[in-house]
Amino acid sequence: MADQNRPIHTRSDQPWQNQRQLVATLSLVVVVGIIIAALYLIQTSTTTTTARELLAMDDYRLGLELDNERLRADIAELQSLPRVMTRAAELGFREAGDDDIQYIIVDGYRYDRPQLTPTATPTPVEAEPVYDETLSGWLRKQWDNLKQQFDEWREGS
Amino acid sequence: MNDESLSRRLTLLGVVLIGISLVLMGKLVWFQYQMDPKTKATLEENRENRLFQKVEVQPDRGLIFDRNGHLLATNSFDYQVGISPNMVLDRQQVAAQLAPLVGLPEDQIYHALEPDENGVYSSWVLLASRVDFATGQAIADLDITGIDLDPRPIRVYPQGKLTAQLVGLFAGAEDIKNSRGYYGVEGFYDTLLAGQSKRVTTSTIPLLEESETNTDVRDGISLVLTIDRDLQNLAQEVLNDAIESDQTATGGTILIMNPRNGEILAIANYPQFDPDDAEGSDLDLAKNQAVQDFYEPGSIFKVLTMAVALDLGTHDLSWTYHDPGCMEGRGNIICNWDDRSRGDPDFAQVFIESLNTGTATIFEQIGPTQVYPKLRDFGIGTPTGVDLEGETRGILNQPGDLIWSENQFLTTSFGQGVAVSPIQMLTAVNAIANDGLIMQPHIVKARIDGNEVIEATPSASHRPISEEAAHTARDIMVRVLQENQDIEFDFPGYTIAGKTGTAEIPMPGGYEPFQAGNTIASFVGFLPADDPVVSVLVKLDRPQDYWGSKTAAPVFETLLRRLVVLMEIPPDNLRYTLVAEGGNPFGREY
Repeated sequence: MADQNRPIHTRSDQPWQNQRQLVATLSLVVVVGIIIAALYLIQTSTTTTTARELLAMDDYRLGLELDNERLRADIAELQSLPRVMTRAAELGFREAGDDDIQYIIVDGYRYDRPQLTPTATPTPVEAEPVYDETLSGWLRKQWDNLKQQFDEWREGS
Repeated sequence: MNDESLSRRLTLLGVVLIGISLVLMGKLVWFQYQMDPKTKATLEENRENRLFQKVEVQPDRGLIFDRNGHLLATNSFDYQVGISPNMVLDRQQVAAQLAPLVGLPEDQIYHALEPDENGVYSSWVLLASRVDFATGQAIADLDITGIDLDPRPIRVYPQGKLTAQLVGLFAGAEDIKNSRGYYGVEGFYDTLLAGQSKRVTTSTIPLLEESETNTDVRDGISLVLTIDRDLQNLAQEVLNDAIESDQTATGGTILIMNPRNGEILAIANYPQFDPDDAEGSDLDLAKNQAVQDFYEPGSIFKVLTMAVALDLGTHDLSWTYHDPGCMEGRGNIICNWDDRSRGDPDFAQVFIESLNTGTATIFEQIGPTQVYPKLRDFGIGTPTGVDLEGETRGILNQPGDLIWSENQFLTTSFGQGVAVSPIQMLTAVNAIANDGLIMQPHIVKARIDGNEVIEATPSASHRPISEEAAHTARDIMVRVLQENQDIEFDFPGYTIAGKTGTAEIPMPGGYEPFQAGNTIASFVGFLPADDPVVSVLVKLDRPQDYWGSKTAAPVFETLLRRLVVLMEIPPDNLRYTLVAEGGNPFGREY
């Protein structure tokens, strides 16, 4: 009797419940798959972008190295003796002759005098306090730590 | 369609889809773990080829500096220019733009950009194997689609001709891998300068690490030479002036060394080699004549005759002989340079007057058994071991050799019939300057390996003569310049030891006629004589005024006038005062 009292449409909808569950499950799988794929895609694209950046940086580094080499060669050529001498002549310099040289004797100077190397005065190092494994030792350690923190705070302020 | 039927069909579809998925997944698993080995190998190879490439990373070649840090050889680059015709839109315009820059006719470039008879374009063609940096930049600025500029390493010699023959050159092939150093320092130290390349498997994806390195890439070691660029320039200028102002001189050498430690301070040769025009120049000029060529030295060799006699103790300052002017040798007549007799000159007079009869008599009295080992001790007939490529050993014929003769033994006493390189000769004379001890001649002062600098320690090669004999020989060499009035040399204020030489040039069957343009004039000396810091050899080939005393000696004087300023060598009186006061007698470190 009870079954007879149940509305007919409720019974007739029951098969669709299973279909819905299946579709929902498949949809869930698809969504999870899409999320995983999206994550993978994001990671791949990030990797590729980083790779491109690395390539660009590598090219830039190579370019800088080449520029450095070229500049070093250019500087060396600009400092080559013919150029320097020509430029010096343009500026009015001339080569010194033996008459232009004066040797001066400095009293008391010795070229081979011993070098006085300053020796550092050793700074006395305070001995690390030793704490034993007793209660008083533990208390002393805590007190010292607290005191040190206070000193640091005071110096900082 | 009723609901039940639809439900069954959907269930069936779901089962089929799940079944297909399971099959695919199963296949994937099988593919991953149970693949046919051949297929797997092929796929892996394809992956390797696509993702990785094997390259050889070339190290930077070591630099070369002079003793004051001036660059003598460095690295730079130029460009190889190529183009991809299949990417070019307007061939005519591109050809017109590139023609003046790559140095090719416009029509030739246009033709290279055209497709072949089948209408197929080349993917890449070479336009120029080397263009300089400025040209490369100009091409890059044109922004032509398809143009390819590939930087290629080159070796640059900033001092140009000035140091070309001692530094050497780096050449051989278009690519740096197959090139090497030739001549001079580049040749001798090629392995050190070259460094070590490495094979690397690089990924086309930069995030993947490099692998398969057989060893670390190691840049070449840089070298600091003992050469002083300023002294080198001075020597070259003096030599060039001397030869270019002479009507017949064809070449020459000025070699400057420190006899105390064997350092080579300058090597100037004439004619010079231009490293910037290596293709257009005669490559034979690239060799270092001071090291690779030998010649009969003439009378400067007499200082060795003197040293040999003094060291063996067979002769001393009290020795005299009767000088006939010309004497009967062993199958030949030996004459003094002016054929005149000096009566009964003593030992020193033989060298002050440069008497051939005197030196021949001395050798005759000593005998070849004692002379030749002593000459070998001086390094005659053996390479000095200097660190420059292609050193010659010279010629010292000895008893037992096919072309040795007793007459040659006697002429060896005055430097004919024996051949030496300039560096052999100066190294031997350095023994007299350095209290009888020969220091190993060398041109590399230090090696720079990354951040580490390894200084070369001067080493004594050997002692051919005693200190006492060296001092006596030195004093006689000082008297040569003070007492021989025929030598055109006047440099007051300094005590200098020296000896001139005039050598005949051998030819098949004898010697060239003794006349202008047929001799080699030379001068060897050192200063300050009592505490030498520099020794010099001047050699002039075929000068107009053929005597060494008239040509090489004035060149030596001209050189010294500027050299003492450059090296800050004070005159003797001042030097003695400086020493007495405790000062450094030499301003610059050499």
